[in-house]
Amino acid sequence: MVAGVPPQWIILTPSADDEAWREAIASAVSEAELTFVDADRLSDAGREPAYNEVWLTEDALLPRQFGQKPIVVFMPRPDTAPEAVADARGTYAPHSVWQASLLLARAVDQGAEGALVVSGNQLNHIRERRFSLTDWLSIQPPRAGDVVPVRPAVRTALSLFADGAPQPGLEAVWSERIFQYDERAARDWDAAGQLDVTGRPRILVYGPYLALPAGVWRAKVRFAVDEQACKREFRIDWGTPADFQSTSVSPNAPGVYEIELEHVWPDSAMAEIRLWIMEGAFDGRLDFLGATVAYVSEPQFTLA
Amino acid sequence: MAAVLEEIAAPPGLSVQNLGMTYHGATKPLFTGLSFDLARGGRLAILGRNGQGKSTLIKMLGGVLPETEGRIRWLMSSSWPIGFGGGFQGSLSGLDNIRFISRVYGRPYEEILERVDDFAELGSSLKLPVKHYSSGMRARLAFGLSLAIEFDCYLIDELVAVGDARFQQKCQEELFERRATRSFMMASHDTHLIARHCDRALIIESGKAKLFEDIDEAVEVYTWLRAA
Repeated sequence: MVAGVPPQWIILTPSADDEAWREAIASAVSEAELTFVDADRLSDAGREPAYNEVWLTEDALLPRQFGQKPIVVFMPRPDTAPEAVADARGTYAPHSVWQASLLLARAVDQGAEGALVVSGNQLNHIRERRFSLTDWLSIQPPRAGDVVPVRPAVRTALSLFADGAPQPGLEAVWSERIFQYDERAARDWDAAGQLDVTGRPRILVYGPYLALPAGVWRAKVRFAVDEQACKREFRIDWGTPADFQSTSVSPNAPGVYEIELEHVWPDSAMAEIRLWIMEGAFDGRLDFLGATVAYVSEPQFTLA
Repeated sequence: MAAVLEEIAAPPGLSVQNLGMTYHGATKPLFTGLSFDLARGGRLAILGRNGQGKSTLIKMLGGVLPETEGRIRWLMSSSWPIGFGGGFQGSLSGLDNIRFISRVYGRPYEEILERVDDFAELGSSLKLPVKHYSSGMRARLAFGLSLAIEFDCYLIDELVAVGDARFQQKCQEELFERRATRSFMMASHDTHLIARHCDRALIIESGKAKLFEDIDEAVEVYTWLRAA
């Protein structure tokens, strides 16, 4: 019995093994003679965390509502998070992917707040060996469940979360398949990313609305233009939907181009790349080739 | 409901398929692969920079120039290009030209004369040979004759080229207000006129033609083309 333990929080990000992990954490809490509270399935919405209670949630924002911080974050199999979100909330892609990435990014942010982040890759190494996280919490990880089908483009994009807290050099490819496109520009083509730029100035490509943890993030955005489209001016935005960096480019020659931009995420938030055509175009083709997103550093803050 | 179905099932008033034009001796076509339909009552703008083939297309649709490839199929009556004075016999007077057109179209001469005279305001000048007309007088006669015969579809090539401001106002009222239910195909650089009176647009550029269902977008794209 641990006497007088203040309320504790554990974050468990969504995964295909969600139920097994909740049971394992509940069991570990019970062994520590503390009370387990599943905050995501709480019937009494007004209840507040009390002494000798350990609360579990998938959303790292929840402890903040009580002025508290989590002590541990578990992120098993992050690539299966979208499917778990879809099952739990009755939603579907791309909304489930967006929501899953936001939960993953918020969870990762807790590392900077002092929480112990146990990543999917670490859990793969530990496998099913029991391990201790605090002087009162020892956990027996559940057996990983069956392999679930995950779209390769989504798996690659979510690989950013495989090691928990990002380190400089971490990067992931965001395939053209996870972006959204101007409906009319894309309608005549079979493959994602192929666009007819004919029309008024507008946004041709936007998305993917995957969340990123706090930090400085670099995007290398790639696209190809033909002889007609290369004469037009394009603008690329990188950031969140509300706060972003921009650059304009007039290629003037057909070919493949890569544009590099950096932006600071003070907190985890959805990321958006926008590719605009800034002039009306009578003709031309643009192939959007996706982007590579890389973690540069922790967010740098300057005093105003 | 039945009326809507009838409208959907109705054949277009004009069908153009893979139309192309290469002038004799030219090394490359002015445009190729032009296909579009025009419904009865439809209003199609023809936009393009100078020399891209707007007037040529209007003349081909009006039967003044032959198509060198493709096909034009009219299922409604169409005017000759309004303002086009190429069909006049210069040594004949305005009156004689009116008489000639009346016979060609099987209309009473007096009625046509009255309508042309009322609109063109040429008065006694109608008795003079057309070759002595100024370009403005010639345009008035041509425009008056175009409106004296009723057509299902009017082909208009640069309305701004005809007469002074007052006469242009008169032309616009006669065309767009009194003939509000007719079809129009209008080639013009006047984007305000186009946006006000057309619901679709064809842009011709560098030998290619594209149809825009959104007239405002077409005007915007054309404005960028002109600025380039």
